[in-house]
Amino acid sequence: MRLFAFLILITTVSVASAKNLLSNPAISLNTLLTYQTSDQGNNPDGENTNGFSVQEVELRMTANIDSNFYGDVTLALENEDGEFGIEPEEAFVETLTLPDFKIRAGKFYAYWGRHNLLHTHSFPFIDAALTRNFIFGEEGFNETGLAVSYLVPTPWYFEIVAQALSGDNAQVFGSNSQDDVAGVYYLKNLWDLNKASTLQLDLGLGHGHNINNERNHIYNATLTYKWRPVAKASTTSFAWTAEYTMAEKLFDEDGNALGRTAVLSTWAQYQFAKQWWAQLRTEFVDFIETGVDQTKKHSALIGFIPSEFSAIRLQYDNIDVTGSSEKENRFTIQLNTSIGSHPAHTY
Amino acid sequence: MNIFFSVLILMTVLSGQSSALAKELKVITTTTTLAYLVNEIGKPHVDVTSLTTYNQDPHAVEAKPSYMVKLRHADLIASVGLDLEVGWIHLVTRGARNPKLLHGRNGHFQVEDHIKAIEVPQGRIDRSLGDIHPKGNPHFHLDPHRIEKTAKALAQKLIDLAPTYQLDFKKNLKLFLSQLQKKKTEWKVRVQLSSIKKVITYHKSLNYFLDFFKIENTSTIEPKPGVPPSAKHIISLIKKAKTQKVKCILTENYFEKTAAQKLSEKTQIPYEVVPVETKTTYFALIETLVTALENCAKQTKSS
Repeated sequence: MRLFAFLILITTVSVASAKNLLSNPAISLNTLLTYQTSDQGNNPDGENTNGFSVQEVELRMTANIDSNFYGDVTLALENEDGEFGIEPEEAFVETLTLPDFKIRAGKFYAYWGRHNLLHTHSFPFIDAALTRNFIFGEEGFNETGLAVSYLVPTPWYFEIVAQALSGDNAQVFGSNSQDDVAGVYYLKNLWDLNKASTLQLDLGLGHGHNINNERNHIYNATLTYKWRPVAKASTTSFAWTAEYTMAEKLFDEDGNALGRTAVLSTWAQYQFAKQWWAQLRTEFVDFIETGVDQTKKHSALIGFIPSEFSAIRLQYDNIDVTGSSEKENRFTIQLNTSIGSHPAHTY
Repeated sequence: MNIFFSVLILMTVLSGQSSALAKELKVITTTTTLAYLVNEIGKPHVDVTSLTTYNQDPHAVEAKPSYMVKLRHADLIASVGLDLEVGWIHLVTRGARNPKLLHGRNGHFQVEDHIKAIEVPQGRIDRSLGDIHPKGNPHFHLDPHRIEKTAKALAQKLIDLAPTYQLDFKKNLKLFLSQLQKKKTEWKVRVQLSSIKKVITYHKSLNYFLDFFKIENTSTIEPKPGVPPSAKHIISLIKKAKTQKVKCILTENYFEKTAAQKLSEKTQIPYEVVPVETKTTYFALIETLVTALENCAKQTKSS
């Protein structure tokens, strides 16, 4: 029934957009199909199980609401325990006319590092980085609240974001108190090293109350280097990101305390032809407090990206999970397509 | 929550220090040709910066945060429109937090509003046709007629923003237009003498230029906009180019050149790598393109 309603919504929207391009929102629909195989058999706890699956269907609509506000809504149709459900992944309003400031209100991915701001279809790899999923769970750090951002008048890009969010992320801010608000602060710095390359440093600090109503802190530091030579902009580029997130008191999905835990994810993406990408990723989960062995994950990806609207990507993962004797080897192939309006990707 | 409000207060205090008054009109453009035009008309009262460089593929521009920094204190953003900058410009203007530059405000200028585009797709359009521009070909600036119109519209915009300097703007515009008028006649004679009537280009970036000089672009090296050529497509181009008596292959400097080289080798049709955007002056840009046609003609005669 929900699926039916979703389809009706898409149909109505596309009919309307054919009539009048200008007054309607920019609409895009992303579909992610995967096929996965692993030498450890099916992992029922994983986000994606073996075999074919619809990883996600995502409908995004954006438009200026009026002369003061901009609206951005993303509805995700996701496979959860065998059943599809619709969820507003993001639904927020942003100010357009405040000089120097921007206020965002609604449900959104918190400004936190680099990976957390991405939707599933624009993840650098098929699956999310552990800095996002291990610390915040499958949905990432996605909360309802308010973000005030200010562009500091410096010669480089320097943005300060102060966020007041409903602190109900089960793994870090799972307090039962209804009016508990988490404060999350984020600094974004970006320097143009030359015409071709940039260096970005993100720093984050968050505080709120955990499942036991104790004060909990989270920290993030992310460094990104990007290179795209001007004269070969459409055929060559390189990007490298190292993201570190630490939670003072982390809980897993079932509410078990893991103590102070840190995750480092680092990945490099190299575009070697107009339509081809090669990528590598290495990740470590460090259980600082309990002192048990690290979880290690290494991934490699090759992507064929014929246009901005489609991509076929093959990924290999080697996963060494704490406490398990065997390493898992996993292959995933993903077909990532998008119909509708032209995507504008944040840098 | 207390920290949240302290940070807000700190931000407000910092923002109070940012309102330094600039004497000149600060203009940001998306292309170097627009920057050149604004500077020619607005000098010495404008401070112009182009976000892209002359040898950059306008289709592969990213919404760099540093562009937002450039825009935050600008008085005017001049862009092409026609969806040329669709993949990044909105993020950049919104991110700049400079309400003056938003669509419909005084600091917003789009060439799209002042010229008529060619090649507006008719009938059903979808993405199977490649990276198509629904509002028509956006590479307008290589047509001297449309550059005249754009220069006039830009002059009006500058007068609106800084009426004090209107005499200078009008004088500069008049000078530019008269120089262009002279050059137009000269270029037309030279292109006619070259007797080149048919060419092949990589992308449809040069069609306004070719239209102006009544030259036909018989086919493009890319089979569809944004799609790199396959071997099969090149083979079909070789046959077509020979039967259609194409005299020149022009490839834009920011696209890959191997396909054009191969086509030229197999057909003996000369090929020239040409710029699309202004490096020094607009006159030098068109001059280079006219010279490229002349070079093709010379090579055809000598072989």
